[in-house]
Amino acid sequence: MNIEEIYLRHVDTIYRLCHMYLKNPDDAQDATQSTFEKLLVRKEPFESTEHEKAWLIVCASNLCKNMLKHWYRSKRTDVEEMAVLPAKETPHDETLALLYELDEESRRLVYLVYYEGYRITEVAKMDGVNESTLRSRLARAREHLKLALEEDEE
Amino acid sequence: MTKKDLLGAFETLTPDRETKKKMLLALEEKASKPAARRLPFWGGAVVVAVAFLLLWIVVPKGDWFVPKAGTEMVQSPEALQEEADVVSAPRADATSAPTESEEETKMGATPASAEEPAEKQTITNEYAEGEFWIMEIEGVEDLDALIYLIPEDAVLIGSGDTFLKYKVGEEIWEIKIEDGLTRLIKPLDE
Repeated sequence: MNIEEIYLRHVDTIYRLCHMYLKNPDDAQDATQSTFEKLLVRKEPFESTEHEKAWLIVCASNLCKNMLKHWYRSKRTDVEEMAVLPAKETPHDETLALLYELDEESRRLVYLVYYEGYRITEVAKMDGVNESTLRSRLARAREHLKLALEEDEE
Repeated sequence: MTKKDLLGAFETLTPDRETKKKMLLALEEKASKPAARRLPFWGGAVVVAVAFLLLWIVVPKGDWFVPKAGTEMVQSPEALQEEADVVSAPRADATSAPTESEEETKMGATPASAEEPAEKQTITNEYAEGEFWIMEIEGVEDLDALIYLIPEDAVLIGSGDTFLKYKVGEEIWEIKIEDGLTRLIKPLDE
């Protein structure tokens, strides 16, 4: 298992996914690195590139969720303090701002379906979640984003 | 919002070449190091147990308890009983001998130096027989309890279940049980 090859194959996907969760480039970097570090200790080979990608996505998602929990505990800041903090490096974009208004699971779902091209059934299988749950979650997200998209996720 | 807008927004999140290289270098550095050995679950329990033990020994209460617990584990019930007897004897002396100060009792006065016999023992008969003076005593359960009858400079030269033999100066004194009767036999004073 060549780590560098796998890294180069999936780093963009994983980094964007982490960014979707954490809304912050520094934390996204940390989470991406941690995800690939998990890969270092994995001993079983992957069945395919798709399996490899799905494993990394699930691993990164779990790490980000843990980081968010930790972030909530350790980095809570008063609103007054936040006003004097320097602006984050996150690209300013209206679409991103709208995306960030969604809850983290919906953001992840929109990213996986619309950008990575996963089907709802595939995401449901990956997460072990009911398909209908994901469908309604995606519908709500689309409503929020006022997204004029064709039903191409089937 | 169109799908194009959405894809464009996601695209802006793609890391630049420098960031990717930085992450890859960190990953390679991590890969080159041996994996950190994590303490197994039971290892944590052992560490906690050892810490508790150390704390128990270090705190005054633990310091007091541990040596005593060790002694108790070594001593047999008989030895403990003997120890209890030794401890209780001076107290009995202190109450029965009002002339003896408490300080003297603390300094280790034992039945050997006591002036008075135990309550149950009574000298029932004294007589001369040949060149010996014989005292008959009742209520003796332990020959050692008669040591108050022997001078302090006496040296024990023989002992058995039924007799104790002392050398007092040039004389030989003997305490022995015969036919259920305890006798102190010493040379007749000239």
